[in-house]
Amino acid sequence: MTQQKTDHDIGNRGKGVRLTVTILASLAVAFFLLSFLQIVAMK
Amino acid sequence: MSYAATHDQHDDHHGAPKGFFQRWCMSTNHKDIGTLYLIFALTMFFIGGSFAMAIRAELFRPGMQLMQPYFFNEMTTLHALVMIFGAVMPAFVGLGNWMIPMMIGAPDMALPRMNNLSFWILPFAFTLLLSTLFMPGGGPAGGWTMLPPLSLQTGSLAYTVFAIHLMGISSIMGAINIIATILNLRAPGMELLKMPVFVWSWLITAFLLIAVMPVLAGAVTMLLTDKYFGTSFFNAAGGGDPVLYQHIFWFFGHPEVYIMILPAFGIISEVIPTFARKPIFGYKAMVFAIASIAFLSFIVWAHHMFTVGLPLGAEIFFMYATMLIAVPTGVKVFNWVATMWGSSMTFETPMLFAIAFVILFTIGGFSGLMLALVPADFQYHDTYFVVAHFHYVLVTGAIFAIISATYYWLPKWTGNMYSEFWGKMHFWNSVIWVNVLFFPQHFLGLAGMPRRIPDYNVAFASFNMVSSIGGFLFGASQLIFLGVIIHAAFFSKNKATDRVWEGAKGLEWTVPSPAPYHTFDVPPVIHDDELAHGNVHA
Repeated sequence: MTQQKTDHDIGNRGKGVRLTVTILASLAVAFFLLSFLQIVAMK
Repeated sequence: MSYAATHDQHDDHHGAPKGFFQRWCMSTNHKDIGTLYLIFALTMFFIGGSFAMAIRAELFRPGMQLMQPYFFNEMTTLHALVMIFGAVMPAFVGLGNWMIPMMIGAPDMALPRMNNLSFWILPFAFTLLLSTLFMPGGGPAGGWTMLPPLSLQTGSLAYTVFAIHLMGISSIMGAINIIATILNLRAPGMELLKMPVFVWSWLITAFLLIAVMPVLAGAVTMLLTDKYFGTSFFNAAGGGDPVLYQHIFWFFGHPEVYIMILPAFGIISEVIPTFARKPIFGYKAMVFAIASIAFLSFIVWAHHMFTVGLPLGAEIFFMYATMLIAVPTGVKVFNWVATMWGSSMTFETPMLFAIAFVILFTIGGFSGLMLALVPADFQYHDTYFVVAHFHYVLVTGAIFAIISATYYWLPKWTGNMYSEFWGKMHFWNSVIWVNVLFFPQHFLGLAGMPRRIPDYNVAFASFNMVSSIGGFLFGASQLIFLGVIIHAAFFSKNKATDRVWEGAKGLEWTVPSPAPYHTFDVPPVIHDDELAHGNVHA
């Protein structure tokens, strides 16, 4: 058995994916920069 | 939109694209990309394994018989880099790609084209890395940890660093894809606490990857700038400190080893309930244990650095934090055993590897607990005791889980049953010879044999010979695995049913075997009693 998907569902999923990717990519960049900031912390 | 992006402009709803290049190089299908990752991982497993055979061949007897010391060091370095980044991690990504969308009722991954890019970066990165063996000056030979200043003396450092950056980018993109898929593309009714444990383990592992792969990138970038651009991050004469590299590297390195084991925990939590015909004991505890282990993995990194001269307070903190990780891990081991307790077990090949995992990973965990004790570690550090520990958790841990998963899901992927006789032959040979290979290394370490040495004191000769014999036979027995896979994929006449295993529960077992090119294009209706964990109440 299957469920119907609507354009609204597809739209919401697309927005959700975009938001997820934005947040996670920002996290990745933040951790990259954090590794350099560790130098300041270790001094 | 990413969801609509799975519906290509071209009409591919009737199956796979016809051309080889279109299907395999331009794939946007999670099953095909999963297959690519798994074939790549198997290939790298044999390449990394051949480096291990070279190492064990040289260590068979004291004295230098077969190779120059620099080549031996290249072998140890590349064995680790290839196995970690080329075999174990891509194998888990391949298993995740294949199974996660089917397990949650999704049509594909959230970002199918990025999925393809994530894979195809890897063959390029490893060609680059392995090509350093043939460059003037040779390949990396200072250990996979690339500690400066030794690693800065390698001529091919730039190529190694670039290869590692590429692998990191591949992993980060893959992790973003997995989180986006699990959080956004679950079929309606597939609540988070109804998902298979394997999906939970990958969700948590993906967060670890996003947090720590960029830190590795930072560390190796600093190595690059120290060598080529005149910085002094790790050069005391310029105001830096080599120990700083160790802090940054192991801040990546410790979560990395959990990245390599958490999906294994997820696999075992799928296999054991199926062959015990009993739901996993303590589903929520298993999920929270994985999350606890992941969280704790961020605050234990300096247990890799106990002998560098850390302040006493730091050593004590990291010792206790490391011992604390044993608690949620123990919860998991107890729950796997409790799942089997009083169950109706059968011992097909996936179950054999899963049970071996529980026992042998626990042995690896015990040696890890010994290493966690600071004063004890002052003796064990950089000896073969450490080598024995991590090979128990990685080989009889991660690799056995990957093998178990392969036997478990191969009928779903190929539509054919593998040969149970040869599967059991592979199992018994693997489990016997892996212990012959690695158990003596505990004693070598306790007796004082250092790591990463091509020649050793004659006092260590007999255990090294035993270990090498185990190594050769363990390596040879993996050829059985290769034969089983090829036979099952192309030659087996024994067709698999949809459910394959009597006790199997979950959405992935509701699709035909082999799984069609597209599954769950339209979301399935979720019936709680069809799921392995559908009846968990808040």
